[in-house]
Amino acid sequence: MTAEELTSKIKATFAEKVEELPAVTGIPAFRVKAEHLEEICTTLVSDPELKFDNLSCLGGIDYPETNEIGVVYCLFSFAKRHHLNLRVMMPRENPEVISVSEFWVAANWFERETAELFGIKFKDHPDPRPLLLIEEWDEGYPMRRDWEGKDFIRMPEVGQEK
Amino acid sequence: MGVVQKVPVYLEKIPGGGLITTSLDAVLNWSRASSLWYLLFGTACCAIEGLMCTGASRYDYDRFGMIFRASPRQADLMIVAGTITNKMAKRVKILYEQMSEPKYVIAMGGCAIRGGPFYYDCYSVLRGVDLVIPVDVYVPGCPPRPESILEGCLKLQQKIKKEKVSDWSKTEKFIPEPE
Repeated sequence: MTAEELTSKIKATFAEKVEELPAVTGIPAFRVKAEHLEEICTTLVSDPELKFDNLSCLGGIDYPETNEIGVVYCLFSFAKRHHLNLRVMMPRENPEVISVSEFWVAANWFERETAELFGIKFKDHPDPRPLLLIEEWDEGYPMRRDWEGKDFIRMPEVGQEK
Repeated sequence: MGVVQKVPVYLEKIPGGGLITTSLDAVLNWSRASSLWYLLFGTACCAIEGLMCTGASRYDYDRFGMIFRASPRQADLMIVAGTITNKMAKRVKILYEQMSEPKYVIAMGGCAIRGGPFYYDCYSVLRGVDLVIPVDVYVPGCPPRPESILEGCLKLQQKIKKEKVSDWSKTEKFIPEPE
């Protein structure tokens, strides 16, 4: 399906649960609330015209200015050859979203990494162990915008190098 | 220390013993320098350049007698090629301790020397492998040219050839005089 057909189909199927974002890369992008994610993903996987069977990427994003932290899902369909991006934003205090590893198995490690680096809790994750950081890590969530660790050396500004 | 460590000290006291220790020096140093078997230890881009490309046919390690070994027990040189993260640092130390004496380390590339391009703005990179293991030769570059790495290996061979048998009884590791 082309990008316009896909956009109109998604808007028709889900009505008010999704909010369209400007598709900067040519890939349709939608903003979804965390509580609707499960039913949207079920439809995306099972609908015969949509058939998103591949999760290309899952990552965390952090906007401390608007006090939001979120997860971005990049989906692809091998059968229909179309892409889709979803974005789930949550308040920064207690971010929680359902884990999509029951729909796409690749999400398992992506979610472990995102949980460890951003502090987002993925409910019903089958294996919530930390993935990349050392076992004794106790210094917070490094990929958040306002993180400072004790060994962290920030790049000096241009012209200020000693 | 064992009995063997004390032998050169007593040998030097006998008249004519100096001749034995210097020829023993020469033979042992020549044999160690001419057959440095390196451990296949590469984590990042320097592994492609420094282990695979330099070991292949155009720039060859084998003409210096250096063959790769997969197990640290059978290797006496560890070329640390690549970025070492904090999680990997513990394992680097374990591998270094599994190598048997005499053992040498070449820190290859910017990341192994001082963290390289990851010195700033990084939460998980170890700034230099000499924070966990002692290094003999540093080869700068990102990645170093194969010719640079071979120059580093030759410098290591020169360093090995300055070792002395009478240092066996000393407990500190041998550090040569700077030229």
